Amino acid sequence: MAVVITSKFYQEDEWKDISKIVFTSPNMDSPAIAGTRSHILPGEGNLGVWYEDTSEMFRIESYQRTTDSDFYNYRMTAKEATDLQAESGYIDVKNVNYSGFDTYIKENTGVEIIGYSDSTGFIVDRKTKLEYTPHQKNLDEIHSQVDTKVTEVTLIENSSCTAGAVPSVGVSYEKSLARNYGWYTKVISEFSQCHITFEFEDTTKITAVEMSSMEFEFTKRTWNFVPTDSCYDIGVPDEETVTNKVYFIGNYTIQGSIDNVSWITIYTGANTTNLSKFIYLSNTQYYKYYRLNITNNSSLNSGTFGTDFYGVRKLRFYNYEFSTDAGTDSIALYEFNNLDAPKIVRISNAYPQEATTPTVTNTSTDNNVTGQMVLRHTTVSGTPVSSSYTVDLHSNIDPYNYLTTAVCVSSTVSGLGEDAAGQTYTKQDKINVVVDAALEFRDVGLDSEYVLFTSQGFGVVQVDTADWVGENTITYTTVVSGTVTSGTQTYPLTGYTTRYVESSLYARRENFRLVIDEYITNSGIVAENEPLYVWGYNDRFLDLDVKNAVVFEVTTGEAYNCRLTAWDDVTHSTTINELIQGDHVRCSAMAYCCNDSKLNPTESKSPLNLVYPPVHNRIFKGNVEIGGNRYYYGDFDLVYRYQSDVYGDYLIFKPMLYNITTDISYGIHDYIITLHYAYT
Amino acid sequence: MDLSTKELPNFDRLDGTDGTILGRYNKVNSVNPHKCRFVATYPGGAEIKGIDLFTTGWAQIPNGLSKLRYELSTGHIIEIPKFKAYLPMIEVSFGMDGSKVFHYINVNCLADKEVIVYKIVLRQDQLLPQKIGDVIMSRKLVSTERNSSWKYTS
Repeated sequence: MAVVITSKFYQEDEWKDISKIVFTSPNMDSPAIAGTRSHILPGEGNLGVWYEDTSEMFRIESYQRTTDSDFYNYRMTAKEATDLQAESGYIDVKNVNYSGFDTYIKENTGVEIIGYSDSTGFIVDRKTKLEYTPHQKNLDEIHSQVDTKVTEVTLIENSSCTAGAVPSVGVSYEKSLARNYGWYTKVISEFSQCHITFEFEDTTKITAVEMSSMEFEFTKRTWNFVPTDSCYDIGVPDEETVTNKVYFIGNYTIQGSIDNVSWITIYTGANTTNLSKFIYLSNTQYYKYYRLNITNNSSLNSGTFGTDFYGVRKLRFYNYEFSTDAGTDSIALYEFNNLDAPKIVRISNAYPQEATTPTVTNTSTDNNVTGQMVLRHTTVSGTPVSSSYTVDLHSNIDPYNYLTTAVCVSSTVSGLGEDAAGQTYTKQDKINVVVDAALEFRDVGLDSEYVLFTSQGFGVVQVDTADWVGENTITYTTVVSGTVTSGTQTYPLTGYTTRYVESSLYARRENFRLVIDEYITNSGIVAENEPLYVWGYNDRFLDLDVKNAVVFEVTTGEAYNCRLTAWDDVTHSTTINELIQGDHVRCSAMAYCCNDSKLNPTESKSPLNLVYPPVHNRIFKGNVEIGGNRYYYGDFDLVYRYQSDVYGDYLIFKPMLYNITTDISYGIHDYIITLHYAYT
Repeated sequence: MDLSTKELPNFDRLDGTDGTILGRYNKVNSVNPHKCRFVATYPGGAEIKGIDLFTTGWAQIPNGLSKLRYELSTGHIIEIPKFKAYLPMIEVSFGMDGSKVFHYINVNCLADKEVIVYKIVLRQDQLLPQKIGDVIMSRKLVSTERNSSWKYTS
């Protein structure tokens, strides 16, 4: 039977005949300036895509979608051989090419939403506009619950004992700066907005955001002076804790983007004085990038706000947490090892599974500590005399690594003993850890001028990152020493810290377990490492769908051995072409039949939809095949479906031009996409 | 756009014998697909001639043929030996600019345990050694998939 195939694209509510495909610079926004041929300036980066019929041009995309994830291209491999006839109820898969795979399955099979889960750990990068100052170097510190406190002791007016004279009152401040966690900036009226952008491991539907602003406190001490026979001694100070500065969250928006270029506002927080906020977002889209966008905050430095700074300390992202029960619907999973008899099952839920065997590593690190200690040693009358000591100890090189801060107050003058309440804070890359440590502060007596500071700590840290989950057991010893002199002095210290870390980490999402709802083809065994594919359609503006693709439709007969590829010119015989040879010519494509209409395809039951596994960003280069890699899409058969509830077959594709840089020569470039097929 | 259109906008020259397609780096000589057809011979000598390569007419002929040959516009006549059945496939490529190149006629011939393929060359250029009218033979396994376009011999 002969075959009749049409090629069309859909724009402005009607199907149009495709005449040309045109790539332009993204700033070309109307047919009048786009012309009838591609206008590409090398180095322009992302390109706009236009389809042209016999009289008009239509811009399909302002920027080509360059993500490597799309809802037609879920592929995975079987983790182990699975006998479908045994109907085990599940199949384990790995090497899933889309990390949001389980979410996709759950949402499309109607799995119940039961809450929110923290997805902050899946942030892989963040960028801050220059006028912001991120103090964290480690990504995981974004959601730290613990403030780093930098204690500063400033005796504004130091008093000395002068016979006959009453010293003036001295005041000191101990300042805890919470702003060392988070981002802060001065109120900048010159800038309309600043932002902190987070890149997720893959597209994610964030549905809640939690954030806290920053504040820091002063401990205000007013010193009393106790008269003695000859002069005044400094007594116990009156203490008062005051909140001095608050950095409000202020004016902001939460925005999402798929390409880090075009942003969609999801939430607007207007002029709020909240110090903390938990926002539920009515977000229905998946974005790879989210950002906290600080809008004009010039009004924050007066009135209610009374701050010169805007700041965010804690920021957490949440997405839906789904039930583990099977959903009410299912999605087909195909194995295309044999195109004549593909194995097909329907899955109704998907769980990410952690590795069952941890990876255990042990490290021991010695680090020299060169730092300083501020010791205030005040002696008052009485036997035994009382002394008060405050110790601030930190590395001069990196106060956030192996930072050791200790406060010790002792009632004995001859020896400082131990202070179990002393705390030590330390950090490890990628992990926040707070360890309570026993503190030993040895002083051999008033006559001695030597102090030995020993801090020992032990902690078990739960590790939760994008790739790993598990725990780190950390033990460490810090030893420093110095010379003591009465009064308030700052001493240089040298010493070392030894850290022992034993990590027991499980690879997160080593594989997915797919719950099988129905065995459509339950004969045979899906072999280990066999590629599997998922069918799906959603009206999401990621990549390939009917409305942004060129659609081939078989309206009569059958076309055999169909192959979509690209050639240099109308001879369909050479690939001597700068674009083709440079692997710039690419295409996403899929062959399928469906239920419902051509415009709104839904999954058909019999036959099932997928005619040929989809490809994304496939390099097109004639009939080239190297090492098993095909530089074309095919080969497959397209037939006209005569059933009343099945439409097709269809072949849809979307051409792309990748990596157009200044390396491309100036001039006119073109190539031809061809459909190669056979008919009777 | 209908891919089965009989327009050949990429042909620089086309006459009753053949045509020329000029590319940047290659020149293709092609048969005139309007003037190529199959001829099925039935017992008693009756012949049914096909239409052209666009609409072959193969689906309309009855089973029971005794011989099959192809007549190309260039004058080449390719006789296909008698087999149990025939299934010819016109191999063509369609460009999104409307260009169309006819490459081969793949005549699948059903033998006892295999399928013999007669690949009749419809084009020649400066890259491939094949010439118009050449026949490249190969064989393949019998497909388990049924195809209603097989025409059985008597």
